[in-house]
Formats: sequence, C-alpha cells, structure tokens
Amino acid sequence: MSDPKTVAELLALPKRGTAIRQVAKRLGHAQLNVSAEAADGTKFLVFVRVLKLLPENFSIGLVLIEGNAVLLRMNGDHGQHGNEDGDTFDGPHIHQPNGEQMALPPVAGSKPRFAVRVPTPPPPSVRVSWGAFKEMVALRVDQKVDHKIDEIYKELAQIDIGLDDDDCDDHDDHREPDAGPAKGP
Amino acid sequence: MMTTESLTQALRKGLDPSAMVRVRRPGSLYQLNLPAFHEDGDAVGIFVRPKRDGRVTVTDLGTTFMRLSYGIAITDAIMSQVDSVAQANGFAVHDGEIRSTVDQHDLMPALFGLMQIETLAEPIAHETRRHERVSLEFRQSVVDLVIGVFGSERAVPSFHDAANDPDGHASVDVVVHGGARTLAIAAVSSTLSAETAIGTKFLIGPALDRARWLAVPRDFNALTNRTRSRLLREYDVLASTLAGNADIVRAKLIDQAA
Repeated sequence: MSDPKTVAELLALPKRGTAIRQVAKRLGHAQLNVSAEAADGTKFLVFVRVLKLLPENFSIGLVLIEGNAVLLRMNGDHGQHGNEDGDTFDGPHIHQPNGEQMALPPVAGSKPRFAVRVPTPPPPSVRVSWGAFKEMVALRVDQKVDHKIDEIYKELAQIDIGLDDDDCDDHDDHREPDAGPAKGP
Repeated sequence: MMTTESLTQALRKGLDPSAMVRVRRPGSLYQLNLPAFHEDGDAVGIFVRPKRDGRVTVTDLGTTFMRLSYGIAITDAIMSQVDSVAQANGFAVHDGEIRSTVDQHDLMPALFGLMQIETLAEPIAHETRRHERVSLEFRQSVVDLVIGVFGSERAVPSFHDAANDPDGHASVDVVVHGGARTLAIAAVSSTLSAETAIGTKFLIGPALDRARWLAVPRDFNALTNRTRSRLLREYDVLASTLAGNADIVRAKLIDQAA
C-alpha cells in the first residue's frame, strides 16, 4: 500500500471535474458543487458559493472526499480574516495549510485557518478567481461547468443592492412602537 | 440619514475602539469589522442596511448559511433550527438571510444578537445533521427488518395515500399487505418522529382501513412523558428499544399480521 499523499501532492494531482449540482433552495447565495476525480481514483469535491447581494463575497474550495478535508479555499472580499499570529487583514484571501502542513497528509475534517492575502486590486470576481483556482489545484472541467460559473457571475452582477425596502421583518403588527428588538432568553 | 461617520460613532460608543465601518455600497450597505472571528479565522459577517424611514436592518446578508454549506447540505431541519436561534435573539431567516430591522438606538443589542446567532449556527447545524443521520439510519434498520420478515413484495416502505396525498407529505415508514391484517409500522427514533407518526396515523388512517398501527422505537424511554402516553394510545409499541430485541420484534410482527 502506498503512503498517503501530502496536501501539496493532492493539490498538484491533475483532476477532472464533471458532474455538477446546483441547489434551488431559497438561500442567499448561488451554489454549485462539482465532482472531480484524479486518474488514480482519488475523489474530490469542488464547491463554489457566491453571495447574491454582494457577489464579490464568494468562496471556491477543494475538498478531499476521503476524510472530508478542505485542502484549499479561495475567498473573495468577504471582510476581515485573522491569522493565529495576529495578522488581520481585509479583502480576498486563500485559506491553505501553512508551511509544514503542506508536506503532511491532510487531517480528516480539517479546514485551513491560515490564509494569505490575494493582492489584486480591484477585488477579483468569482469568474476571474475560478480560472486561478483551476490552475492552483490542477483542475480541468467540462465547458458546461465554466458556463455555469459565468451564468452565476452575470446574473448576480446585475443585482443592485439599494436601500432596504423589504418589509419582511417588520413586526409592527405584534410589537409596540419603539419596542426595539425582541429580547431572547 | 445614516452615514459612515454616524454609524462609526454609534458603534464606538458601545464597542471596542477597533470596531470599524467599511462601506460596501455607498449609502446602502455597510460592513462592520468587529473583533469576532470564526474558527477558520474569517470574521463574523455583520452588515447594516439603512431604510428610508430611518431604521436600519442588521443582517448577515446570507453569509451564515453560505459558510455552513461548504461542509454540509442545508436541510429544512437545519434552517429551522437556526431560525429558532435567530428568533430567540430577535432575528428571523428570510430567503437564507438572517436579519432584523431596528431603530438606530437599538443597533448595539441587535449587533450582539447577530454575533451570537452566527457563533451558534455551526454547532447547531452539525448537531442537527447528526440527529438526521441517526434518524435515517434507524428508519432504514426497521424497514430492513420488516422486509426481512415479510419480503419486499408485501412490505412497502414510505407508504402514502396516493389518491389524496400524491406528493406524499404524510407517509408511513413501512406498510405490510397481504396477510390477515395490514400492518402500518412507524420507526420512532425521537420525540419528533413519534409525534410525526401520531399525526400520520390521523391523516392516513382512513386509507388504511382496519390496519394495525405498530411502533418500533429506538429508545421508548428517551421520549418525553407526554409523547410516550400519546404513542401508547395510538400505536402498539413492540418493544422499548429495537437494539437487543430484534427477534422479539420479528415474532410480534408475524403475530400481528396473522
């Protein structure tokens, strides 16, 4: 039996992504899952998430199915990130195992806490980052996957988040005026 | 009208001086940089959207469920559980967004409420998922046991009243036909599934005239007192727990079908 692959080896292992699955639930993000497999049978999941009201807030991740370990996750501009050494920064970044962890097999259930900045003004879109992600993880996909990413990008780019005119959480019918938020336990 | 400066001042009155406001969309969307981080180092997502009437909406913009979806499928049960926590903190879930509209002077409690919800969401989601898996596995074990006794031609999993409920909103875990009596069998893994089984009997009862309603619990004694009483009224409970009693349950099933 061969030694388990390290994180670095798994990232560099050429993969092919095929089946895609979108979820039509009423959530605040667009969602795409891509099944990918290497020639040696190693199975991966690629997830793509884009926040509908703020599309520059996106996440593209590579998960090793065996052990459900996140090997790498590329984030758009979702806000701040804080590394354990105290370094805190705003903007796009990439979560990945740090230093010597790359030379070890992934830990089951792990999600990398360490992240590096992506210095790309202006902040990248999911469409631009998708191309960079595929290169980083040696991923080739069917054209339909690229088209789906493009569709999501174009659809969400048209959303203009203006003032909040939605009254879905107005509770005036059962709350006294100026009562403030309902107090929890 | 809210401005970046007024929002920053309001925050600094009640929060750490390092709290900052970041303009995401001028005049309509602000992100608050607060010293609160998830386990992976990403900051808790807190946004403020002004309303025309001067109030503000405090929202996660959908980031909580988006983050949860990296690792697990967002089921109705998970959304419901997170919504319960949200409501306990004065928020609600709308289209995957956790939000609350408040007067500006109530901004601080709302911010703390949202931070609390976002912190709790991940453990709640994982615990809900664990319960769902246990429930599904137990149900399958009961279905397999019944099919093992009666065969797949007589034992029908997920039976529903096709004429009156074509979408199968109410279904019996497994129904056994072809004997002297029809058996309607519920796999009861929790108080919730017990109450669901009781409700199902009321809904489907007319379609299964003269059926015997049987329950196989994962652990009868783990149900609430009230649910135990109600289950005993509506079902014949075949054992206090399936584990270690499979042979007894099989014998009783054969007996009940005769």
